Amino acid sequence: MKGLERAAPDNNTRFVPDELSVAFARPFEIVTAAHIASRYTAKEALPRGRAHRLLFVVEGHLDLDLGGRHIALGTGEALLIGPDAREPLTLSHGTEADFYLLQFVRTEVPADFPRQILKVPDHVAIRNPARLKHLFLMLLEAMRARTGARLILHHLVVLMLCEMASSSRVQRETRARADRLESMASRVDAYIAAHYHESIGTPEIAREFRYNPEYLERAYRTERHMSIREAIHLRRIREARAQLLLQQARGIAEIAALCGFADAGHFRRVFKRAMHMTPHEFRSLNTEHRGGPHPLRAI
Amino acid sequence: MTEFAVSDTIEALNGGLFVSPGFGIHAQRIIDSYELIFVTQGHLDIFEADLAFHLERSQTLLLYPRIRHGGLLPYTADVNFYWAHFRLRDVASSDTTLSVPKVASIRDPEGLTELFCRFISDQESGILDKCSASQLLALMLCMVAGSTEQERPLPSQDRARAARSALVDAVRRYIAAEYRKPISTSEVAQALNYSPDYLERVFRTQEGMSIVDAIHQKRISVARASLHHDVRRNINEIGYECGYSDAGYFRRMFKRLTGLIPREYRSLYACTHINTH
Repeated sequence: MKGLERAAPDNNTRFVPDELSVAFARPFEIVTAAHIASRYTAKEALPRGRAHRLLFVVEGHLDLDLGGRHIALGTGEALLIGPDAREPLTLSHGTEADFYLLQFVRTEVPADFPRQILKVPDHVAIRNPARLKHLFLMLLEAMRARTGARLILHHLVVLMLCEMASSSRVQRETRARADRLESMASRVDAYIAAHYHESIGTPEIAREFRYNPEYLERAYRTERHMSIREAIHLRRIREARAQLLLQQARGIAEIAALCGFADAGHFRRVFKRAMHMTPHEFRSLNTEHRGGPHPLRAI
Repeated sequence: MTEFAVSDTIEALNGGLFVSPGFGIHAQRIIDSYELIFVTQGHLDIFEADLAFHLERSQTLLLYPRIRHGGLLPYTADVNFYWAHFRLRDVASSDTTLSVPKVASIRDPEGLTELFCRFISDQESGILDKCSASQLLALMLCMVAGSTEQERPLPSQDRARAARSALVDAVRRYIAAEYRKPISTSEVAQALNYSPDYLERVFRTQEGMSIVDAIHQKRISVARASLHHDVRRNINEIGYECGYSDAGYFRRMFKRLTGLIPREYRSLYACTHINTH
């Protein structure tokens, strides 16, 4: 063997075999694998039989009819069809469809063999389509090669199934995280609605919900695309607009205090930034000319 | 949801890419797992028990558990190698066994690099599940085993066949040397002094592909290697160095042979997780 020679003898020399034997059980036999890229619309019947079928759409979409059950398969989605489907399967696709079809038969893993159970969802959007695409390419390449262990093939198939399984797991986790964020943002909104007239800010809200203020701020921004401070201001301005018109007798500073602004100057600045006019202008615009011609329209 | 029982003989532990810091030596140690080492650059000198191994680029070494191994020579400045630790579970009997040689020269080093990259980047981003890890390791071992598979020996009396196979080797050698230049079947034929049609026919019968296919295959495999290792290099530049003066043409050929465009391929397989000790 090249690159292998005896070195100085070691005291605790052990026998080193020059080959390692690894045992596998073949869980699958591959029937066919194909890459189908079509420029034309087509409708074809999928072969029936005892094979599992895995479809993966790279580009375009497929419409499947599984004995009356209709399934639309979009770009980046994969579908696993079991062998027990007795009804005829038809597959139709639009122009520029690009997809892979794999057919494999499950074989029994011997009872005394170390095994793992892989749970694969039937219909899933693949988290990273490039990964699955390249596995298919490796599979087709390995099938074309005249030499080489057939063993490679079913390890690749298991990896594909793992890819499907992990896609749904990742999606579930992402969904759960999105739900958590949404509920957190709603709680913040509710708190602002109840306490906007008090002196509140991110630190107070974070303390109320026992969150780290920076984490809460980041989570809220992810969900609502604005900072908590902006949300508080927005709420206060909304209230101020109503109060300015309803409570004509009260001064601007008083309205500001009612809506949670401690400082009238600050109130004016925030109001102007949001409404492009001062609170005073807003009030006169909407009261003195009520019923008459709109001053801006007269220009 | 469909459930599949998958054989689970390999327990993959962890893996990484070692990049030489330019000094130091592989530690002497006894570990309780197997280790697969794959040198992608430079060379590595390692001993196990009383055996010395000198590994060159594209060679793998399989180290056994509970046997002392360690570095023989300090790391050279340019050595890079992938490593992965794994255990084997006991199996009573099996119809399918794989014989993995201790040392192997890998026939498709880019393919093995891809498997290592998948393993390491999934491990780093925390999405490597046990099943994928075990399958990826099994695939690595399949590749190692497949690389030493004997070519079918040619019967010595069949001299015409031996001559044809020598001719195919000559074509391969010419492509390996000249793939950066704009070559095609006619240049190869001219250089080897054969008729293009004859050469094409011989090559196709023996290899199952045309000479032009073989040229593209060589170019794209060099491009794959560059995309693995030169993470910051411009993609068009890589294409240019592999013999494609037209960036669009490079992208199309790359996609035809790997299923991915170069940018997708790089983001899938560029390894950035590195250890230096």
